[in-house]
Amino acid sequence: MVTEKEKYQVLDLKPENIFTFSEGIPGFEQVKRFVILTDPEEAPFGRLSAVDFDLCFFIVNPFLLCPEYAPDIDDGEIEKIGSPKQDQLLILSIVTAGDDPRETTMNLVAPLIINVKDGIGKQLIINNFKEYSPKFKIWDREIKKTE
Amino acid sequence: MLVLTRKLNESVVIADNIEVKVLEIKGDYVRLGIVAPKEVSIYRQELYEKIKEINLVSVKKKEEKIKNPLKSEKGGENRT
Repeated sequence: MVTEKEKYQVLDLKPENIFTFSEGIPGFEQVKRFVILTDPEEAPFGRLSAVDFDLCFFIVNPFLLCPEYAPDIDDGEIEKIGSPKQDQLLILSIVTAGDDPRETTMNLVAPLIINVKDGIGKQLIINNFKEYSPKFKIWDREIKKTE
Repeated sequence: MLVLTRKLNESVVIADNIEVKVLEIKGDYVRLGIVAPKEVSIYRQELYEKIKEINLVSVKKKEEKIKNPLKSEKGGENRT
């Protein structure tokens, strides 16, 4: 049996690889510890995988498929995750994937913000939430290019 | 639900460290000011519910996979 550790690029489950979401995320308030896993076969997607439960979320770098994405995030929110510097801050979107891969969406209204140095994260609602969709169709532009 | 009536510029205090103040009343809108410790998250209710609903729909079991529609169109890796 291939273990999750063998399938994904993760170097042991050391405490420093674990990200703590002290409030969980909406709908999953009890899920407070995650690791981030990547598998080249699933690129550009990664996984936010719960340490203590059998569940995970597909995640993606929102700027990759929406280069104009400009989330307005309060300094107060950055403070809540330990005031990471710009190069210590990771912004990721949770992906909603159904049966049709072309209909995959990402949540631009409520990204995850992660302090990679201290291993702290949360999901927040951006100030300019009205400008974006929580179900942004990530493949629409790419598919239009090929048609 | 506790129901209180406040006038413009009046507040409610919750626990000993959260204050909600009525800052402006304009037609259908009430502008609220909220003072709370930074550990306390504050959301617009309907947005919170929407995000919660999307998270609940997005969650996967660890064994599930995700497909990149462009990779399969290009005749890339075939996985069984």
